[in-house]
Amino acid sequence: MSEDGSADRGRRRFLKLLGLAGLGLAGCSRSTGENDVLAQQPAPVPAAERETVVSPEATVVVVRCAEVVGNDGSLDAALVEEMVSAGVSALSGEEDQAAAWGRYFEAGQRVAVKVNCLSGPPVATHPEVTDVVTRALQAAGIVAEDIVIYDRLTGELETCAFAVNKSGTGVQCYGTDRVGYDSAPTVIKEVGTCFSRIVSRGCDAIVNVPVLKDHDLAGLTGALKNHYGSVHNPNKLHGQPEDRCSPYIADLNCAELLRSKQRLIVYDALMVCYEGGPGYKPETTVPYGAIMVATDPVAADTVGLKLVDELRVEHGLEALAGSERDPKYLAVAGDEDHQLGSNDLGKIDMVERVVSA
Amino acid sequence: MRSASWEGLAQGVGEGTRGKMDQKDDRDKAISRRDMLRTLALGGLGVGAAGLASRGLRGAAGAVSVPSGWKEAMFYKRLDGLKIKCQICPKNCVVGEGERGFCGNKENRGGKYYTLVYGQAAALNIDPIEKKPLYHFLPASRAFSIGTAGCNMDCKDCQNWEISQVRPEQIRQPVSLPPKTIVSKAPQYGATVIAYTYNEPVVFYEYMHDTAKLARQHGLRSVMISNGYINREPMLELAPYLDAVKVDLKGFTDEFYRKYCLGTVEPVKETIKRVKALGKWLEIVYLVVPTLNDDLDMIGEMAAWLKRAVGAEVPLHFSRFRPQYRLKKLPPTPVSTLEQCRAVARGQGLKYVYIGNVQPGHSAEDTYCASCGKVVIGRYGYQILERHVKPNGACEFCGSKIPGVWS
Repeated sequence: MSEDGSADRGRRRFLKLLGLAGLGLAGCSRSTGENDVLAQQPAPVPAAERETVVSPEATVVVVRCAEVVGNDGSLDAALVEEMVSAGVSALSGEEDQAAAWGRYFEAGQRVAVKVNCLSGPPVATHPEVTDVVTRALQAAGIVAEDIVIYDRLTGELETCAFAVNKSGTGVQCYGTDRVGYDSAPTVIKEVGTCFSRIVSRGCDAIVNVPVLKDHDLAGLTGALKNHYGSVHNPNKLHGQPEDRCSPYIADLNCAELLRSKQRLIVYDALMVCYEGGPGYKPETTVPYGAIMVATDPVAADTVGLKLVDELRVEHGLEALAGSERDPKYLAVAGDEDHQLGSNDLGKIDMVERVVSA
Repeated sequence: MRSASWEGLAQGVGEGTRGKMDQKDDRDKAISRRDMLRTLALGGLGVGAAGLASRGLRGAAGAVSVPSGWKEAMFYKRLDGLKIKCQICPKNCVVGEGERGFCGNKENRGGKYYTLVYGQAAALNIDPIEKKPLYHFLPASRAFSIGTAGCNMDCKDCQNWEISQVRPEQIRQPVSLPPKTIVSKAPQYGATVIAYTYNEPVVFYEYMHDTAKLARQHGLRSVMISNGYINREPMLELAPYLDAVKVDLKGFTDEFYRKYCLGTVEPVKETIKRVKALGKWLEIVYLVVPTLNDDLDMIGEMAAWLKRAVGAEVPLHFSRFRPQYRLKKLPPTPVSTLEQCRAVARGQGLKYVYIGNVQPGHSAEDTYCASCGKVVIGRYGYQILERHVKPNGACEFCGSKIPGVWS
């Protein structure tokens, strides 16, 4: 035990966050302990009783900065912070960042930050973006130890230069391989899947920090598809080529866990792959220099599609929208049966901001 | 998920409990689970995640690294843009770079397709052959049974979903078990057969192929316990090394297959015919799920088709559904329903029709001579209580040939 007991406090918070019980589908051979604190969590509050902080409007703030990505691909961290702050301020109507983030998160909450590391750098969520997110969350009253940056595998996070931290002190960062998946599947429409225990038990709220890429099967991968990394069997959710991952993407996001917990999307469009995704294709990946902020994941992806299509046309390619590669999941996500958000550009309030160096 | 160690496997993979094993076998040959694990460990096998837990191996642009233990897959072709098309099963997944196919245990890295489960058993056990179920194939023999992570279907009633519906990284303690080790260890446990089972062996095709080929060289038999969802060429390549195939016919309509299995029925029917044409011993299992695939008219159509396609002597097992995985709200199949299915199938002319996964002791567990009607193999669960089939397959009572592999 340390002199001030901080390690012990950290350890208690760590265990509280994880609720490691050693059961489930953990792929990591490390012992996960017997203290299943998460199993003792109170039952989730039914949707009707939950106060929503989600903005009812389909607003997507697009913040651009021509100088944020350097010629060598490096990011200007200060500009990234300015962009994220500008985006959240514009969305929330609050200039003060603590107040802005406080519109979506409450002090005392445990917040998970879902990144996308699948394809590795540079078309992965940038740590510079999540640094801003985690600082802002703390400013809004979230305790550092109650924040976890996660993706599917710890190794993927490391490859993308995230500082893996499983110590229980400070902002946590690790993959679901550290804690495993629920032992029983959640069934939502056509999807049956086990959620990461980080999602099901380890957080009260989620910040979704996706990247923007063309996807050879889905058409587009963005906020909605980012949660394929929150479940145990994404390979089962692609369907046949003609399905284009539909209705699976929309069905998955209908899970109450995601609907109720996801509060904010901070879209990392600093580097965008407009063709050949989801893997990294240097020839079709550009430094786009944008951050998008929204609460509506369908609206965010719809605007994302618009941006990708602009890039595609600019580079002599056919736009995805309306083509045989149209991301049909967007139509499904916005339909009566799913109601995940707005997929109509005509009804989305696209707010544009520019940040200069 | 229980680990692949001996201790939890027999109960963890859902083909039946250890309690149903042949007590007579246990008295004759006391091979303990602990002995199995100790022997495997002494053989240099330990828990091996083979680098699967860490996939942080993507380098900078253009650099492709592959974890040790990954082996290039068979039966795929390269496409433009670093994509591949897998050609093992009728899903024929087109997989982008860095992505996996539907089965979840093969990955495209840099335009090459790799299996992640070669030599990596997620489940292993010594099972009585009757547990597969194979009733007309070397009765009372022991099968060294292995499975890995992954599947090319997603059946809502899967009893092995904890390994079939997960990715290899999610197996807590896979056991490193290369083909040569399987072949050397199987006889030590009295196993004369190697069974590729638990999950769908088509998705660990390379592992199964190499093991079966080696097993053949060492006088061991191989049986594939499969959903039949395999393309023609891989089946032809594999067939010389197999001795028997049990095919799970999940339903008899595309509608059922699409909705409840994420598959289609025609390729399964083609495999059934192909296995028969290749001269491999074939048995069929039909899991009867109440309200979903238990319509007796459809059962009759299915039985009639089997008779036309592969003959009246193919053994057909109607198996009892128990609530599992994503079909927990349905009741178990009434035994009377299974009996009706059996009666319909026999009415269509099928001669060897069984019901399974019911309380041991049901008369429909026994094998009856189609000529004289006597019990030629009496069973109690997986136990053989009496046997009246000569090694050449002749009924001891009337001399008629009982189809099967008896020696």
